[in-house]
Amino acid sequence: MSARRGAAWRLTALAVLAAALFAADLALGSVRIPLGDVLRALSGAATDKVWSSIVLVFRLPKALTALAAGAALAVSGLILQTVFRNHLAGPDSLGVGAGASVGVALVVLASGGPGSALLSGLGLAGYGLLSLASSAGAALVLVLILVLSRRFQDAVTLLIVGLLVGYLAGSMVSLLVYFGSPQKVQVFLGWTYGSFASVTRRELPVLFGSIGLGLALTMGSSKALNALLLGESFAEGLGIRVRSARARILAAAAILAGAVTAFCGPVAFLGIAAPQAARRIFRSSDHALLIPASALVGSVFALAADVATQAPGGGSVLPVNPLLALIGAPIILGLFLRSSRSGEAQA
Amino acid sequence: MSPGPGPVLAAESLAIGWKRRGEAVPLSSGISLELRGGEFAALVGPNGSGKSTLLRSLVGAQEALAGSVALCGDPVRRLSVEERARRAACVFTGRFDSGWFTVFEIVAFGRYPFTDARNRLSERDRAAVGTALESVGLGRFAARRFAELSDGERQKALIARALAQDCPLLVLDEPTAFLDAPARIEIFHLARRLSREEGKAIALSTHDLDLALRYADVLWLIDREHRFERGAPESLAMGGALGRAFDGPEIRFDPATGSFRPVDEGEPPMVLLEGEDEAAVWAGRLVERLGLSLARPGAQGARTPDAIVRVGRGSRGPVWVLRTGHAEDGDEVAFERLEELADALRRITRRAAPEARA
Repeated sequence: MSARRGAAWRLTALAVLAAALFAADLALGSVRIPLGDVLRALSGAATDKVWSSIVLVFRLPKALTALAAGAALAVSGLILQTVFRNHLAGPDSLGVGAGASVGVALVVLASGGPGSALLSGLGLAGYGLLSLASSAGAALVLVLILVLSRRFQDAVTLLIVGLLVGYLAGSMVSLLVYFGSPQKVQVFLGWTYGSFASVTRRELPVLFGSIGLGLALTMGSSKALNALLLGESFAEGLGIRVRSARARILAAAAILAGAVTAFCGPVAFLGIAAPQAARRIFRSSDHALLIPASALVGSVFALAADVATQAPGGGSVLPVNPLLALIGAPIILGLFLRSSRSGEAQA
Repeated sequence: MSPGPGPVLAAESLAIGWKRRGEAVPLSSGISLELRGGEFAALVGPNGSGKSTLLRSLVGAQEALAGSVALCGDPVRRLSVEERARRAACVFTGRFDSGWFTVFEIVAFGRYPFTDARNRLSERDRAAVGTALESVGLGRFAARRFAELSDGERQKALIARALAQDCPLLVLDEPTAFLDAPARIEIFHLARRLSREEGKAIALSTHDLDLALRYADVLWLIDREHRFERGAPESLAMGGALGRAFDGPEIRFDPATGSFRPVDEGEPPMVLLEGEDEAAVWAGRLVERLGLSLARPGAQGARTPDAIVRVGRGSRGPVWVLRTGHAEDGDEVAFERLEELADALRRITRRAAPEARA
């Protein structure tokens, strides 16, 4: 089938693009390291000690984090859009990011230990706790919205509900910040800027493990996701156990968005935008294809934004969040314009 | 699965409705029915009478308030969701955003109960999808985007989806809503063909009473008071059940003609129509549309006609000869166009009106 060949070709092209950006992310930085030496450092071959540690300790974890976080946020957005049958749904618009912030704020601001020491002092356990609190906050918001969504079938109402939940979570965070000690508040505010650079090599397995679990849950639900896209009674008529499938999918979305938010801060934009781009690039609604496609698109955007953070040069870096939309929004607008020109309905 | 010797669907003293905060809100009760393979049942009733609720209760998508439903011999609510999907294929109303799904992909949803977790289609699955598409006449639309189909084609594709599910029972909730007249007839035709040729048991709810009367083997009727009745379409029509269900202040079911007509004060002028050909048929339609009562030669108990229309043959095609007034001194006018005949008939209505009031 030519459609399937076209999809395979596009997936390959995206993977190549992601690999190129990954290499660029390793090669670019405040210290100039030739690509050959970057590769030698990666393979463990003898090279300059400082260069080697810059690549292995700083740049590799950062690039891996961008790769994984981009994929996770994109997939989380994709499946939320499917379950809520609304293309405006996503970890941000449904208040999931805000919920994760509450979890993190509770751990950072309300914990006993001195704030500045918390993240470094607790080490892996601290990040595990942070990840757990963030995922729990995200999950809480999703469950709340899910319960409310049974009452409000209308999609717009649901988004307003998401907005309200977001405000609710935001005001809780504000209050926690207001009563927090200055050091703790500083740590927390640093977290809210969003960055792929704060994950250390020791923490990577936690991040990758969480995201791997979320992606596995999602891939296992691709059949149910396809059916849910056409409605719950439709899915049930096909023998899908809707309640358990939906719970599994929302858990996956919460783990994906929660883990990323815990480690990288509230990274906006990707969750809503990457799935839109994937649908238009692949002209498909089949989740077996859209899940890997969205993940790749998300990785590409995240890596591109992370490469762009090095733009000023001279040791100063830009924050990730504004760069994501700056690079991503025009590209996605272009995709929208292209499909509206060829007279296709929005979908 | 193949239908066993017993009925595909059997309901006994069923009560349907909703549970609101644990309290039962009954819509209709005492529903007993039976549907066998090869039988086509049409469910009719006014809006809000509970047609969708009944269909959903019959396939176990909704819990009944009382009574029992058996699907291929087993209580429907005891069947697992998966097993229900192998016995009953449903097309419920409700529009959805089909995104980028192609017609083939939509129909292939019908194979869900048979595919593995990764939803890979076997050769047999693909063949089943192809056969289903062919049997609704959409074979060449397989690669099209579902969203690009017309309403009628969409409905057929959704029926193909249900066919691909390969169930003994097919449940279609208002498949003719939003369709134009030819597409409605096609859907009914298709339903009858599937019951006859493939031995499906078909339950279809509809507002197209006229088509239901023509095509269905059994009529299931829920009236305004939510009473359920079933029977051959003809016997429900003759027995007055249809009238009880649908008659309103402005409209009445006429058992003599099998169609609905507006309620008039007094008797409309009667026009006797002579002729059998196409020109006569359409003149008859015109007479009825103008609200006049139509009589045929030899009809029993006919009163004296106020006018007679006879179809003749002119040099340039048919002519309609209108004869008004009394047989002896009446005058005859021939019209070559139906528009002219319509004007003349309207004058009769106006002339008759004062008499009717008096």
